[in-house]
Amino acid sequence: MGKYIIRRLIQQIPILIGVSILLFTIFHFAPGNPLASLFSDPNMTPEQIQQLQEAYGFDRPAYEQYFDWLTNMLRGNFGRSIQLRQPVSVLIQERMWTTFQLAFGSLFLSLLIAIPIGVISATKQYSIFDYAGTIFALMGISIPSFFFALLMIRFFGIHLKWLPISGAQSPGIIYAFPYNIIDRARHMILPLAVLGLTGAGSLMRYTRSSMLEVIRQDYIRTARAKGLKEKVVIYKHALRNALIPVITLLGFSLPTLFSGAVIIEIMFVWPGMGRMQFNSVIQRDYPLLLGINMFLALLTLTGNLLADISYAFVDPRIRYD
Amino acid sequence: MKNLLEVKNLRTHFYTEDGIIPAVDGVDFSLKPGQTLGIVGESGCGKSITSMSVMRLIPNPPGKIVDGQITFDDRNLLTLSEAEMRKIRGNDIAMIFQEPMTSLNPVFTIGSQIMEAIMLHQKLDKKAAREKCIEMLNLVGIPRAAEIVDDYPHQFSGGMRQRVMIAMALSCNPKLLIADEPTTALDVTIQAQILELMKELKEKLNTAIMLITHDLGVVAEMADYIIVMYAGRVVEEANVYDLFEAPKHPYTVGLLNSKPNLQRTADRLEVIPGSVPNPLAIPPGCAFNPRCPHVMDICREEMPPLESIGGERKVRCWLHTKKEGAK
Repeated sequence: MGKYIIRRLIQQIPILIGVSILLFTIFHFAPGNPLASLFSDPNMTPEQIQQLQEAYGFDRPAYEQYFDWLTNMLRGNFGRSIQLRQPVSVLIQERMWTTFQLAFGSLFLSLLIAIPIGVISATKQYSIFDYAGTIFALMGISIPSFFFALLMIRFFGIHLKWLPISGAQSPGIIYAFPYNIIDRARHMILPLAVLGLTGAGSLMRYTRSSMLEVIRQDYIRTARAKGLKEKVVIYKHALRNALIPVITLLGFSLPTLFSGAVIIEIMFVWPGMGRMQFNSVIQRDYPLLLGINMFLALLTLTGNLLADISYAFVDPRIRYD
Repeated sequence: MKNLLEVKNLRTHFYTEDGIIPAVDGVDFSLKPGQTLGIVGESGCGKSITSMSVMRLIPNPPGKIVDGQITFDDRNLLTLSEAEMRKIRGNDIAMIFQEPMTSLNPVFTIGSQIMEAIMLHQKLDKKAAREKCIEMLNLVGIPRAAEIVDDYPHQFSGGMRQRVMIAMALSCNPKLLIADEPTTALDVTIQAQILELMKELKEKLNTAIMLITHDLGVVAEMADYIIVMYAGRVVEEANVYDLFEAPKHPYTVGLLNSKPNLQRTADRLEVIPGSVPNPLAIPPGCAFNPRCPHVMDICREEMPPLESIGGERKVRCWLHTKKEGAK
């Protein structure tokens, strides 16, 4: 197992280099650059423009720029954001945790909703509960999250005035100990609910179909023939098997959780990576844009590796050696 | 001797979109302690559904036991609550299945799967259950039992897995073991070993066995008494010698004739013409009449009763039952 993990980690190096080439190429071929807005300023002289280009190194051939970026990155230097004038690594670290809160909070909420409903839907197939669950899941899958977010803002934020609709905490007020946590939690409820509920839909369908397949297996009949309670049969013998494919889904969803929250972070003015990522695209802030995307690529690879490792823990048939 | 299991007029029907399937339609039989009963018939004749009905493991919906009485140890299983039934399953009545490859849960060790039943029914603690489990694995002839209890099912071959299933089934000393095609999925050598093992354990533990199979060789080897089923009904019952010596029902005759025989050389095996009737459209009268070489008018009109023809023999055929007023 240890050897396997080391091998996988080594394999990730060429993949990440490939990703870095792709990302760099795509962004440099895209029209515009971080200074484009300055160039349209009529007060700028061509000399000034030339100076700026040289200062940032944009006048040099693309491959030179790439190798500069790559070697700096290998030294742990991701460059400085052109817009925010701060090191990219500092910016990512600052924002990462607020996004983490939202991402893992919503994932946890999705699982908490999806797995029990999926299991009950499967064990009571074609019952009213199953149909209600299916309708709920299809709503979660088909309602765009921004629209759902608007509905929630309109209803809970503006109409009922129960919950704050923007930011991660109330601005300008410093609360004493328990209240600062409560304040932050209240700000999290709406974005969490939107992300959690929309994410739960597909996860629930996944759990349901996986469970339906498992409860038809011979070993479930064996478990029943042993005289086990139906609860033990379902939640011990069946669920453990049904969750194996769900784990793959979770591995893949790790990066999606981060980038997928972009729209929701913007709608709720959440100070996370999503908003920063969006702004970096709009501003063509190359160092920041590339830094964030490399971070997401690393997250994708880590998610896949984690999924593969956890496979071995839940399914004894899978052994890496 | 008193009967251990008595099944009377068992009817298990399946309610599907296309109509009602009478998978088991009035089956009677009984079994004494320590006896082996063979239930023989083609696929779809209702033999597995009969055994699942005894365990009350018919998936509902679509299936339902609509009528009958199953008396086990003086209790009617059909009127027991689900909780009382759970105390019987795996404890008094245990079951082994056709597919050893898929009958064990792939994500738990075989030890934990065997211990589960022991801890549940015998109220032993984990340590004692583990010892009992190793003892059972030794009993079914698994080498290095103490080492392999913590192995997973995929590390075993089909024959070994069936031994594990037998160990699991017998771990609580059941009075009745239901074996649903226990050797069908195994190759011939392993088949013989498993049958030998079952016979040996039956002698040792005095367990009654209900052996479900389509393999006449297996019943000849194992069973004391045989019932032959066709289209959800018993068509013939007899002890093993009488049945093989002088089969009465044309279907049984056909089954025995279609077996390869060492004393007879033939290019082709004999077949029973036609095929098993569609369970949604069982022909009126005797269900076997479209395939029967001795069919008479009355066979197409009226279902013959299962009647005793002397001794323990019973047959459901107009050839052997004289209807009053009929020629």
